[in-house]
Amino acid sequence: MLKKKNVIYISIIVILFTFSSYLFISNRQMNIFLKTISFGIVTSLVVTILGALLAYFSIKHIKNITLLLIILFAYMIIPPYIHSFAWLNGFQIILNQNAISGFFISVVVQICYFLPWATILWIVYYKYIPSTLFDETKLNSNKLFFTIYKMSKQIFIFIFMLIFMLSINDFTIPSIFAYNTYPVEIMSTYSSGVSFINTFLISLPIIIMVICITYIIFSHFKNNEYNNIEQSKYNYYTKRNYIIYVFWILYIAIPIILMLIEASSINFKYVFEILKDNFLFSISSSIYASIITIVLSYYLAFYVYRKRKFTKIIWIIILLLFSIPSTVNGIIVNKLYQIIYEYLPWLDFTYFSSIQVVHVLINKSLPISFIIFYIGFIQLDEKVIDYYKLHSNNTNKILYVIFWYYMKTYLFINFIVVFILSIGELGGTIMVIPPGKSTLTITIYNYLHYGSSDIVSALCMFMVLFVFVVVLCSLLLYNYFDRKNKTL
Amino acid sequence: MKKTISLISMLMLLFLFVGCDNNIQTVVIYTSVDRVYSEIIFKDFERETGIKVLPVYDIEANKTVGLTKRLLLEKKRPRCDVFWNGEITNTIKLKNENILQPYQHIYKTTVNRNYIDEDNMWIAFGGRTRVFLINKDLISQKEYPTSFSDLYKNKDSYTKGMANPVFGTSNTYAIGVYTLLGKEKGYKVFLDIANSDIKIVTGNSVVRDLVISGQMAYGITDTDDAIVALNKSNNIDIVFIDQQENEKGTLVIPNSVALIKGGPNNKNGKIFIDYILKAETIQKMIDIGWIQINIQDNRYVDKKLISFLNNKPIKVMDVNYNDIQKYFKKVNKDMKNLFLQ
Repeated sequence: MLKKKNVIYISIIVILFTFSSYLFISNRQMNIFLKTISFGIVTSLVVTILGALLAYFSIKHIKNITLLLIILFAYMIIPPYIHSFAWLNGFQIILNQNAISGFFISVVVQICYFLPWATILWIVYYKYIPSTLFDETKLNSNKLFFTIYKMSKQIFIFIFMLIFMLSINDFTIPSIFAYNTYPVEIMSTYSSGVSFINTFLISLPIIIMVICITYIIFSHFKNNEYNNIEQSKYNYYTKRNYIIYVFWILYIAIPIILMLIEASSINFKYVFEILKDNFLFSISSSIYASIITIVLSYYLAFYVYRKRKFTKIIWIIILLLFSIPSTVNGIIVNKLYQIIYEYLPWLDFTYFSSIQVVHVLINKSLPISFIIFYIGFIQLDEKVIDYYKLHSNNTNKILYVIFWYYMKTYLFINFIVVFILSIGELGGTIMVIPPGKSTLTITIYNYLHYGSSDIVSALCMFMVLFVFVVVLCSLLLYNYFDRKNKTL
Repeated sequence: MKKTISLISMLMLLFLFVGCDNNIQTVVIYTSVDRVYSEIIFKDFERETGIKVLPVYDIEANKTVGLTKRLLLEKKRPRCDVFWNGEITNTIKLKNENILQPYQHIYKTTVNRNYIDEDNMWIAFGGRTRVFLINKDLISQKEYPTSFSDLYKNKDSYTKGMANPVFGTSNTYAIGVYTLLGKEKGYKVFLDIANSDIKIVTGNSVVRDLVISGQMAYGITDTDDAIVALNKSNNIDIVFIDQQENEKGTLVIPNSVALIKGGPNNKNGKIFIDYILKAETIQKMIDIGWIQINIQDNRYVDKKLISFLNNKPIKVMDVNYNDIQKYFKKVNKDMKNLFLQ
């Protein structure tokens, strides 16, 4: 599975991890770290298995699976706070609240929160199983479920590790239920007046762990046997089953009903006044960030794919960006611009612009965007690039053609993922937001306090609706260009 | 096509870098006060002075820390003029980091020395206090708790609770208890709490909601939550903590305001501080529900709460906020050990 070279790299990372653990963190913090790992394992294992089963039953019994995907995408944007309280209320009805431990309720709420992520990934995987591989495996198996099961080891590991990383980095849900995971520990240490450098050193074990996991995931991608993945021609749909419909309707409806009840008493004129102040800033910075990230990550992915110089350094930067917690990202960007403004005071006029916010958003979404394009290049036949090279020496021109004709799907996925990540970003943006400006997410969290849950619910409803519209428009645009290309 | 794309890109870049109009009089305020309340005060200030407020609000999850850390990052090139904090401990931390600038506030002569910095770096005003929020349907008046120690010493079968002392105003309360009783006795109080059957929840608003819904018979929360509870439900009663003759009184958690050293609009910052400390502005804050007690005059309390005091002045815990900084580290360490699983 792993090359000898990769084993050496991982060993170095493990040694670094051990050293950093001994040098910078106390025994108590080590115990919390280990507890966080077991917490992450439980969550991600349940989410990955449940997601696989749900995706399987959904793809088999729901005819319009694309619609479900869009709804789940939009649903993912609901802040964890809303999920936590919605599900907590639900569990209070069926369980004695005193009997619920912080660990149990945090795991359960995280499972509910991450379930759409895993289900979406599983559905996309089912749809993109290479038809040849699918047919070959199906020859030896009578049941569809076992066919998928046999082919799913790699994607299982991928989804498990992704959810694991998100789970161990999550601050919001454990902090709401007073369960001390490592991010909560970092935050409370940071609050007690410890310097930024010390906080960064305490974060090192989690950063190294995320780098390590990401590296393993990429080793899988680089070495896997199928490069030219095409959409499976297999029709999974058999017959309509109402149980799965009822499940999704209930799952989606509970938090939304809760938000509707809360928002019912609000004066919507007031909500629109709030939106007027920050909606444009939020949208423009998310769109700037999405465009710049997509262009940058496309070039970077191509550069790394063609194995030019310094690709290892690019990988390290990408992995570092991926593993840095949001707040630390915000602090780094803030610090960087403090230095820039100190040495280049004529740039001071940009302070009140969205430049720092956009920078934070790019840092956050660049790794994911890069990974999506990198997978796109892996799956692209190298002969295509060589063919275009024969016709032109201009690399930019070649990349432009490949971008519009071969990377459309990845561009679409990329835009949606980057946009959702950007519009929902909080930890980093709060550290760099210019005075007098605000993003939609920051505004929601500003109001998340005493007696203003009606405003929060109304804003959340608006946000869910808005993301749903953006995803839908992107899909329509994608279909339009796809059809146009096919006619050409 | 290429020309259009280039034009759009140029326009976008332009918008990306463009900031705001420099000709307008502005003041930059970082505030951890809830936005629903602070923006009312900002709008009034703008109307009265013509100075535009450029606020940066904190979020609940950051527990004031986000803005404090941001101010530290901006120490060399300050962007903020005034820090208006919904509590006080982080303002004191900023003083220790040499971020603040002394200012002779208009309040100086009248204010209680417990609530003003000895070097004029910050001033505390307004305030919330800690109270027992009680569900009348679940507990008879005879059994009402009156003292903070009732929370962990009473061996009753009622479900009771408080917000986690690791964060927020519960943490400030812990610092207050340590300052008043000393490190050892203070630790003993919270050790008893940790060993008792008190339900520790994430925030004061959760205590409020659990008491309203009847899942908790009583709990400790702040007066602003108590007001919300009174508006939401008829089965709520309030008892101010430790008001008996031999008791030490309840802790007031005041707001604090400070001028930032080297801020870009220093003059406007001073105008804002004077405005916020005016009796009318404090009255407005009481009216809109942000604060419930005026620490300059303990007899003045929010109208909704006066009846719960039998028209007597509030007995306030005698904590000098100039002394609390020596307990920060110890309290933080103890609370984390005791209350985070």
